[in-house]
Amino acid sequence: MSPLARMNNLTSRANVILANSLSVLAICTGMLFISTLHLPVEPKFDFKVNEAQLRYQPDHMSGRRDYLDLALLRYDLKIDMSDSFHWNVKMIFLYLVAEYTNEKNVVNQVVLWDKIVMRGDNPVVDLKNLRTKYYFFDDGNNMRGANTTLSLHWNVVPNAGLLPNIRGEKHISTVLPSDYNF
Amino acid sequence: MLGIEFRIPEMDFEGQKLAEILQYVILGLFGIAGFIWGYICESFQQTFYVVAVGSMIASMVVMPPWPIFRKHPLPFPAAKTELKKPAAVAKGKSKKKN
Repeated sequence: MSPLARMNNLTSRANVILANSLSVLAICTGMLFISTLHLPVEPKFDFKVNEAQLRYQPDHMSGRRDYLDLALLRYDLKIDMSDSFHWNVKMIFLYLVAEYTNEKNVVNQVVLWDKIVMRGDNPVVDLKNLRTKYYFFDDGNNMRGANTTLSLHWNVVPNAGLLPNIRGEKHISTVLPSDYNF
Repeated sequence: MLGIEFRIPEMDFEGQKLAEILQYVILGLFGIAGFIWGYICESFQQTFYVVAVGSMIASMVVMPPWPIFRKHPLPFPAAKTELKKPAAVAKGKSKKKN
């Protein structure tokens, strides 16, 4: 940054203005991050399981010609994100996780449903008697009578700053049937 | 060309200093205004637009060598009255002495 040759002709002045306006934009972005640090992103949500069934399902995917346990759930989901979208939130990615323990694995986590909500979209998700979006398969035949905990997680995608992955505090537990329904 | 000599005028040193200060002031003010406006609108896009407009205004104010940046021209040094000796020019070696 020599003081002699910074502003001496048209192109170097254009260069200085471009560089400085990008610096100003970068500072604004940093201030955007700082100004929203104290604002939490916490959608209000409520959900309940209406029905749980268990199925002895031929596994066509892995080619083992085996039978796996498949749980079929029906659930209500109501999420209100009206207060969550401040000016540093570009997108919220919601996903519903079922977690259970059996003899084979201590931790089993399966994503049942997800949704991308952009800023400006309808911030209220109200779904009744929903099927799982993704198959709730076990990796064996150890799902009978499993005590399953459902919880809502969300990723916040900001314009600038951190990418928090938050687990909602509210959980519900449901016990899967102790025998196959069909 | 056609016997017309056209030269883009250049800023003098005082003008360059003034131009540098001016672009800092303009870009800084538009940055602050853009942040506040974006905060009010709850939209960082608005901040970006205000900064972009500030950048264009700064370009228009500071980039061309307006007369305000040419108020302190340096005086030309007095022309040398000495004439070169014809012999030295013919040799083409003693030019370094000038």
